[in-house]
Amino acid sequence: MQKLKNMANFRNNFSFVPYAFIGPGLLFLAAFIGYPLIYSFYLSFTEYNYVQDAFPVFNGLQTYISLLHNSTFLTALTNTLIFAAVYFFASMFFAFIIAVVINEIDRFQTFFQLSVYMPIIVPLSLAGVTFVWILDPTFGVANFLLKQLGIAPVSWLSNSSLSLFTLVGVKFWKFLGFSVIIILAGLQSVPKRLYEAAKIDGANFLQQTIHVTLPGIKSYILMASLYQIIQAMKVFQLPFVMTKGGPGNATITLYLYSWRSAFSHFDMGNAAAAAYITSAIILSFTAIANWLLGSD
Amino acid sequence: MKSLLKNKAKPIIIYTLGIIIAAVFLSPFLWLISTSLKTRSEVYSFPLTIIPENITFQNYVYIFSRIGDFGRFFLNSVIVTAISVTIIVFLSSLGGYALGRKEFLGRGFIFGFIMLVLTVPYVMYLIPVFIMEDALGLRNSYLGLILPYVALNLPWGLFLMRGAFQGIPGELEDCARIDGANEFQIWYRVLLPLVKPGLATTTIITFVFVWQEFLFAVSLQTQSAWQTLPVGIVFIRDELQSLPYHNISAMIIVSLIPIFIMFVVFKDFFISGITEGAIKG
Repeated sequence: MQKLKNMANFRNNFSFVPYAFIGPGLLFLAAFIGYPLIYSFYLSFTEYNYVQDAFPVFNGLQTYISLLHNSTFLTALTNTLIFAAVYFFASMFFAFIIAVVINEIDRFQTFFQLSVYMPIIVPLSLAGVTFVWILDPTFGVANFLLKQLGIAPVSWLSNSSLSLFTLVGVKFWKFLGFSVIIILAGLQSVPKRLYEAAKIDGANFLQQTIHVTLPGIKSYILMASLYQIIQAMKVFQLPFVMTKGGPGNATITLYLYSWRSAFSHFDMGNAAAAAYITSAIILSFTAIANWLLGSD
Repeated sequence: MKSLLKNKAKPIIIYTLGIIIAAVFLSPFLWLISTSLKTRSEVYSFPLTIIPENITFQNYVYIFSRIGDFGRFFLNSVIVTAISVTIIVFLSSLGGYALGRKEFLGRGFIFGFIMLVLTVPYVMYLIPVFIMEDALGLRNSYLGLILPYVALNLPWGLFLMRGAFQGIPGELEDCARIDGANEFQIWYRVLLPLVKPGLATTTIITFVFVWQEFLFAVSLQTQSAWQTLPVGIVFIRDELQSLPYHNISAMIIVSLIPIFIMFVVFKDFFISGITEGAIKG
């Protein structure tokens, strides 16, 4: 009955007003997001060389099947997953530690906050350029400082077993501030009296963290996790700017692979299929995070 | 005695950790500033100097007077960002009103779509947008970047403005309606002044994203006359083959000035924009 009433209400009150307000925005979303999503889905089932072919030719699952047998793609997949795992867990762990430290600071807290947030304003590509300079094998300041400490110089970007982790470090520097902002807001939202009660019960710092802090900021941790999962999987600018995917294929990622397919080889079908696989992985990771940390 | 010691030791530990953290995050900026104030011969000589021996501003003069493209990149970034952010804020404040305060068919779908868009990697849209803009002749123009930038950032803007409009009590709207105001007047005269913090949040968040955008800019703009700073500086670095970092550092510092000012002025709005999703759950 209530439902019927609601429907009647709805019909009586139907107006074009809401559509007039949302319409202009929807046009942009439809043209540059909705349509591209569908079209690239279609492209992923075609063979389409943008320079040579007049139009895409449907070839079913062939593009996906050949991707799974393509060794460069598989290297890109492995690299992306390693990058994502190291980046994600390191960034969540350190963001929590740093947020706790900043939260404990009383005087000059704004200075410490701003120092961690400052890399947010640096375009990622320029962060890459900056670190190429800092890590320069001859004139870089990183190896200079290591030398002062008596440590042998490190080939940050030209050592194929290290370069991927160097990129993790740069991304970490650039994006950690986002997580710290979110977790710090969480820490400040936990009522002080809970800590006082825990102290009276004799809980030490670690026990307070596990039993009071972490449950209290669960929704903030979820938010930061979702944000960092997406960042962890989107690895394009740093290998593009810092290593060109090298040495060898040591820092090629799914994103870079997809981009090169499209803009170096003009193989649009292959690029779209790789992009769709990347998205599928991101969406399943975010679903897992939602499931583990989401509403109780 | 033990707790007294603990109380004294704790601030020392906390501030030591704080200073280490601040040093890690700020040192790349300090190194850029230091490099940009050195002469080329000082940058490329041994032993390295942490603080410049002869401070010079010649690099800052040089990048504007002798590297012709740099000024153009800066101008392009300013134009593209200013126009994109203005359109995004305008459309978000319109759409956010409908999403936050109106019942209408398709609202749930639109909102779900917006949330999905926030997680999908941009490269999914890039390929069709590239093909489309190539066909329409929009590549290598301001419009060619502004249109996708508006679309890519609109989901954030709509999400933020929806929240802002939801936070206003309904009575105000009802009163205005009884007084005979039409829908547009209610939006413009009654509600918009109340969502100013939301407008500020949307402005700073989308400014930060648009100013830094790389993927679309590098793919759509192949002529240097139309490139923005995040792409242009990378290309200048690749062209200036030998030992360019005294100039590159100055360029990076200059490219950070507008976004630094915006960020410091609107810091609290930026923070509330980032934490919005966590609070709403």
